[in-house]
Amino acid sequence: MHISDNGSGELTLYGDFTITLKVLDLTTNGAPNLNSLMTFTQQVITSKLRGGGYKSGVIYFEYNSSTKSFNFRKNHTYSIRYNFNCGVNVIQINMLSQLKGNDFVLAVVDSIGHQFTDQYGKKHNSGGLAQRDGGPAVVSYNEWRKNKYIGVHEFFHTLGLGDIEDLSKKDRLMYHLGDNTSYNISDNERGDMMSFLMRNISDMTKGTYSYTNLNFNTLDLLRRFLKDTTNGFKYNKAKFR
Amino acid sequence: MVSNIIKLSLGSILFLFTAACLNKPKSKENTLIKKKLIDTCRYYAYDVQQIVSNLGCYNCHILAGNRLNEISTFEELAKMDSLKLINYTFTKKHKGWYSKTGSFKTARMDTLTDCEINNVIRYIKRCCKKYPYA
Repeated sequence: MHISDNGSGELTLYGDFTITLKVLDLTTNGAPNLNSLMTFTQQVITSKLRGGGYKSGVIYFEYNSSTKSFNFRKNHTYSIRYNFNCGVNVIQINMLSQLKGNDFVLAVVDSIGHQFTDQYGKKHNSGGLAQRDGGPAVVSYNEWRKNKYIGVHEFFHTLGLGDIEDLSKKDRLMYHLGDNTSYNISDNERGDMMSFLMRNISDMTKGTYSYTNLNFNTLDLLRRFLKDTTNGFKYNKAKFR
Repeated sequence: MVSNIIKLSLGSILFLFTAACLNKPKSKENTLIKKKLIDTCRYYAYDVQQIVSNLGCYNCHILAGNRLNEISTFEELAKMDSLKLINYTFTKKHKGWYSKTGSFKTARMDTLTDCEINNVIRYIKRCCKKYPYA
């Protein structure tokens, strides 16, 4: 990974990321379409993260391109281009032992009882639920079959994005009121996800850079998320032991 | 003597009645204005996230884990008392960078409304608390 400074306040970040999303089938009767849903999800995540992200007016520490380091005593306002190549793997796991501390996880359940009220006061059922910023994501298998983008939507919560309820933004993937006209991601959202993934730009100057999904215990987070009765998950508990 | 006392009492009642009538609509109006102000300041997580994202808070205050250059993480900020947080974020801290004469005087932080500031604080307080997103 490396940083390029154009000298006029724009930093371009280059590098390769590999993201692995582990899918855990917790449905009672199995999920016959799971493979095709996973393939679709992998393709969409790849395409949505491609093309880089862009954020302007980013206040950060001053970058010295000759020493390839940040000066933590001086600040600078930059535009940042995230020119990363993101490889995405969406793989199925069958045992909890395959879920390591910092993994990204998408659990598939029978149904989700959780409802939310939008900003206009209307109630909606939840086809998926996720904890933002690295937390676990869960989708209802039946709802996922009806709307193939739910898996990506939930995973992008994991990568730090919030929900959109603005009726003028029905064309956005993070719009969640069910009547989407399209599934677009903005450059800014892409920048936010890249920023979440790399967490700390200055780490890029430390040679080999390896991302860790914070110090989460994903398995424990997922266990607590599934057990939380307010979420109303129905799933085969025997598969989660 | 008795008629004077009666006159005085009636005068007082009339004064109190007039004062009560004059004050009544004013206080109702104030309540309405207050209610309107409260109603117009609503919390939309996505909009607040955009403010936080555009300000670039996460660049220095990383979410959790090891601090970057000894700067508090978001997780640590979330544990602070709201009033302290307003003071820390918008008043005293940031070394004056965001003040009218500071290096980042053009940054939006100085132009945030009270409602936006309250919402940013709420957003920070909610951080790391694992709310479900649908």
